[in-house]
Amino acid sequence: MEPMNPPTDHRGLEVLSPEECDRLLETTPIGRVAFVHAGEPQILPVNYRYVEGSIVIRTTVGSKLDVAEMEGRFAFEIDDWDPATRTGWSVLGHGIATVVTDEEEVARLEALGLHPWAEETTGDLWIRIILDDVTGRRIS
Amino acid sequence: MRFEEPPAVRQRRFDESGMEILAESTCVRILHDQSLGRVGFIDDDGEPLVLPVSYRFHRRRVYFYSSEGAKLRAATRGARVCFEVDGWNPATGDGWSVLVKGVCRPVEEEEVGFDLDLRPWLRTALRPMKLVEIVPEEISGRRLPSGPVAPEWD
Repeated sequence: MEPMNPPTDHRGLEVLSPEECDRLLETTPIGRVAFVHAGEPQILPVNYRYVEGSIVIRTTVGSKLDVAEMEGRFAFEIDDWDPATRTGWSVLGHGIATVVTDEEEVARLEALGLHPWAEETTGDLWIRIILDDVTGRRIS
Repeated sequence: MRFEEPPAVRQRRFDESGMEILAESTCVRILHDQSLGRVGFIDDDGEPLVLPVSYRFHRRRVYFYSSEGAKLRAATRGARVCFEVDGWNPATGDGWSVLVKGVCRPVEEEEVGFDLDLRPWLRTALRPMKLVEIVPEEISGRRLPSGPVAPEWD
């Protein structure tokens, strides 16, 4: 039987269903990647696509790529917050980042029409973060 | 929110990826204006974590409430953290972001000595909320150079 109220976590926040997390990941254009660079945490906003359970971003050469080349762990976050009503939601995920090198796959990703956050692309590369856990919360 | 157009006499600076480098004074103004940010830190296993928080920027410091958990553990350790705010206008494609790097620690409300008017992101928190402070060591910002006018937060 369906519960009367949506499930909540230990903090009393509504837990979003996997389907709702997928929907938000598929429809939100901007997210943030967090990673460890030179021993310090970093956060960068990114344009992304959510493809078959993976976050795909396009980047120029920079610290994001250095980490990806090391197959580093990334955290990924999207959110929305209305200050007036103090309601919002967030979806978090984690996974290993890899550079997409397969030409056919790059061609498929090119067809997504995704532009990097910074437009001037000298070293245009694709990074895939295969999410191994995704959690979502709603604040209302 | 609208930022002032930088005076024509001021040199606009760009980084290697073509993004405009925001002046620190602009970053500070943005930090005062916004209310939602994300805290990034490294957990006990060395993994990067990011969490959204409702925050206030006061006297060059970032304040947010945290329930018991990873955020507070990081604060208690005096861990190095980063803090990010960003905005994007889907109509124009303009975007900007501000990144704070520093150390965080738990503080008492009385220590701040100022009404932060900061209600926790978790209004319905079942656990005690502790105030956390980030002392910035570095504040930087970037803006997409696409538009002649400054971007707006939607």
